[in-house]
Amino acid sequence: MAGIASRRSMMQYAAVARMRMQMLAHSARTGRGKFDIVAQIATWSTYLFLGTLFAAGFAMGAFHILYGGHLGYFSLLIWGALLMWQFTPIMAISFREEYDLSGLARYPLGFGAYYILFIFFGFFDLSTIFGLASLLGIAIGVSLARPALLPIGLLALAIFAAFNILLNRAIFAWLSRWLARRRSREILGVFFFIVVVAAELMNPALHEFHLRLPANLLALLKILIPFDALFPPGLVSGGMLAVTHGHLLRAALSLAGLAAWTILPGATLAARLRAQYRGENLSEAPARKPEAAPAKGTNRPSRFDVTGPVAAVMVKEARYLMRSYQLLYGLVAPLILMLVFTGTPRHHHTGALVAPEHLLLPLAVLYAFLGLTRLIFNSLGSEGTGLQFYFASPAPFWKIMLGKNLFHMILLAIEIVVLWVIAVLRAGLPSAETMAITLCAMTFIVPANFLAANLVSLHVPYRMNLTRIQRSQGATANNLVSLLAQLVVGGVSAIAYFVAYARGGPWLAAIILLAMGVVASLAYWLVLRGLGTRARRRIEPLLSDLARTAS
Amino acid sequence: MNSPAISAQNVTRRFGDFVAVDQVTFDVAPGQFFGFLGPNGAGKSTTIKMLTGLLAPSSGNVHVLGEDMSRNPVAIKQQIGVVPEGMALFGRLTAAEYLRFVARMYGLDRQTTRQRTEELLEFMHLANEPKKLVTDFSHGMQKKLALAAAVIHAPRVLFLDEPFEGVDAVAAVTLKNMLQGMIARGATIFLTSHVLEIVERLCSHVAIISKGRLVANGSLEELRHGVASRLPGTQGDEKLTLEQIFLNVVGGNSADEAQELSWLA
Repeated sequence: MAGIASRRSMMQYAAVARMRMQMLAHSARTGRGKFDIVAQIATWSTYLFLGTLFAAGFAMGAFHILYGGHLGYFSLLIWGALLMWQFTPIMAISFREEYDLSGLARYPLGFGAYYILFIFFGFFDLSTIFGLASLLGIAIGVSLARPALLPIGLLALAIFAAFNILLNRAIFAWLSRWLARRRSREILGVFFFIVVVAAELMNPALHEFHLRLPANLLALLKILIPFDALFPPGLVSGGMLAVTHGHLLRAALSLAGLAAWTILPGATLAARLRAQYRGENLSEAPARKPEAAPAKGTNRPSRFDVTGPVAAVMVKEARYLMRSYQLLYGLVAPLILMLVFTGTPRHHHTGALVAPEHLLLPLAVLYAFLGLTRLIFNSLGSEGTGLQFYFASPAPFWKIMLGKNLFHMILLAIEIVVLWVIAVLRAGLPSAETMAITLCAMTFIVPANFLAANLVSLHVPYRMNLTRIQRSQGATANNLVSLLAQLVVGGVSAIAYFVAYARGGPWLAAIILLAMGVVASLAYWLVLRGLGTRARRRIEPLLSDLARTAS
Repeated sequence: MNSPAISAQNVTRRFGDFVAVDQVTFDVAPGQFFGFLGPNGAGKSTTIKMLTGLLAPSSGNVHVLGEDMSRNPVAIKQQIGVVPEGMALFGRLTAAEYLRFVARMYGLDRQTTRQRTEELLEFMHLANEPKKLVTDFSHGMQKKLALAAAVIHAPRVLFLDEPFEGVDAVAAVTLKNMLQGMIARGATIFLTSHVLEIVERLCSHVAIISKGRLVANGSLEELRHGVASRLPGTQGDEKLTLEQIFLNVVGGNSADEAQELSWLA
């Protein structure tokens, strides 16, 4: 770690920061870039607002605990902050816009400077914002309730923040390394399916546990409390508790223990980054086997071998999907959500999360769309330099998009059917009326969404790296527009449904939705046929955003 | 005798079961223009990545300018310039901004940075469009910029992975003159290229890698002599081209194979 504050390292930090600022400034040169910045501002404003709410909540919690003299419970608050810090990336699927440091490896950057830069880029992350906001709130609560505890509190919280940042970065770095291999992603995929099945099987047991939750929780806490003092949250509160009792040595020991905990993720991260710094290959290459020469006459066409651009694109999309854990996760996530929202099986209605039965089918459609948003609304994002081929090939561009759309529609249909079967098994068959209206609504929602998705894919695309857990430049703008489009389509169909329902009952609503579906399908077809002209006009920005020099 | 500028000793790189580079050993003397050739997928780029510290060898040692790459990569990187495969530029910077960024990464002071940036942009004919982003440059312009960035800190050893690919003839002459000027002033250049005529014209020494193994290494004259002695019907004084040497060494040929594609017009 020597030299992290040397003159050369400082120059290098400044150069990287300046480079990032210049890139940000240049991204505003185009309308697309300006829009992306606006989307980023909107997103970060939301994060900051949520962070402020978290800070206020934690400040009130800390104030209440300390002012009431219940310092023994302070550790629970710190545990809350820790869990939020480490689990926010998972809950929010926060694959951040991660700057790839490997591009700097060819410069004379010391390992210490490389490490510092890796940590630095972790600051611009949802979990770090929420985590720091919660710790700030706790510090405010401490300063208001027990000002005398503020010095020790600030010191302990600062070390605790360092622990969390290092832990978060270490988890990210190791996970990223692990998931860089296709085999690991396949293991993760299997793990997800096992989790889904296990959740289903465990439901009756959880139901029993749920009934006796208060007693179970207390029993669990009684077992865990003696060990609390050994973990970072317990050490933070232990240090503060020791100061209130005048045991300065014990407080110092708690802080030393906290510092020792901080070294652990720091060292784990260092081990990972050292390998990265020395140079490693994160590609699929390790999975590659030496190729055997094909015997003559054995070159039979594969089962998926099809001709025609539409079919060829569909096969290519299927192969991409099977090789991307991120996209597969998008398919599995709605299934998990459906299990959560449908609560326990039909005869065990207990959970507050249980959705009304007549809404289960519309919810299935909604979840399925959400799961496939990245695929449908950024359908060119994973092409990379292969995008150029589409423009160089003799196939009309609209047929390429049609191939993608058809494949995504098939996926959507499968996803909806599976979700609906889960819903039916758990909550019973919805009425014929609900089924008819939902199907009629789908005749509008599907083509309208695909119409919007094709335009968004052409005008607000972003480059997806299917082998790395990272968010890409431009993803925020695309996500925002996709969400807006889905809200508009969903809102229009809802308004039409409610107005028609109020005027003439459910069957009029079904007919109106069907009529809207016909119009939407026609509009979809007309826009699809015009995509070639639109794409030719946008070749340069598309190649620049999706296929050219990495930024 | 001077220690070699670049030394690879039994360098191996495995990716799982696949051995991309297998026990490669060679030295490049200071001031040499060294060509490193091989068919596609032979292990050229993997080797260059290991020589420049971008990829750790599975086994073996790499020394550059007498320093061990595994022990002191920063000291080596300070003295080498690299144009990597794919160039790895920062697309959303202008050329001048990119060069200034690179210069600061190498610790050049402000005055030197400004002066060299201006000179390099003029030299590479990139000064005319100061506001154009790198991502909007043509492939050839990007190559020139990558080369400018690789030399801005006056490296003692330069590694070039396909530097002339996509560069127009006028720019190629400029670049060749610049590289020969560097050699004349004592720099060492390690070059990979598929354009054998360029390698033949520029390089004094050549190594050939095939299927991960080094199959030839020496001066052009040594290689000519070695191949000529093996080729039946070749006169001793007949001057073989590098292409003939290359095809003979890697065992590729192929009139017969081409004839199999009878469906080609």
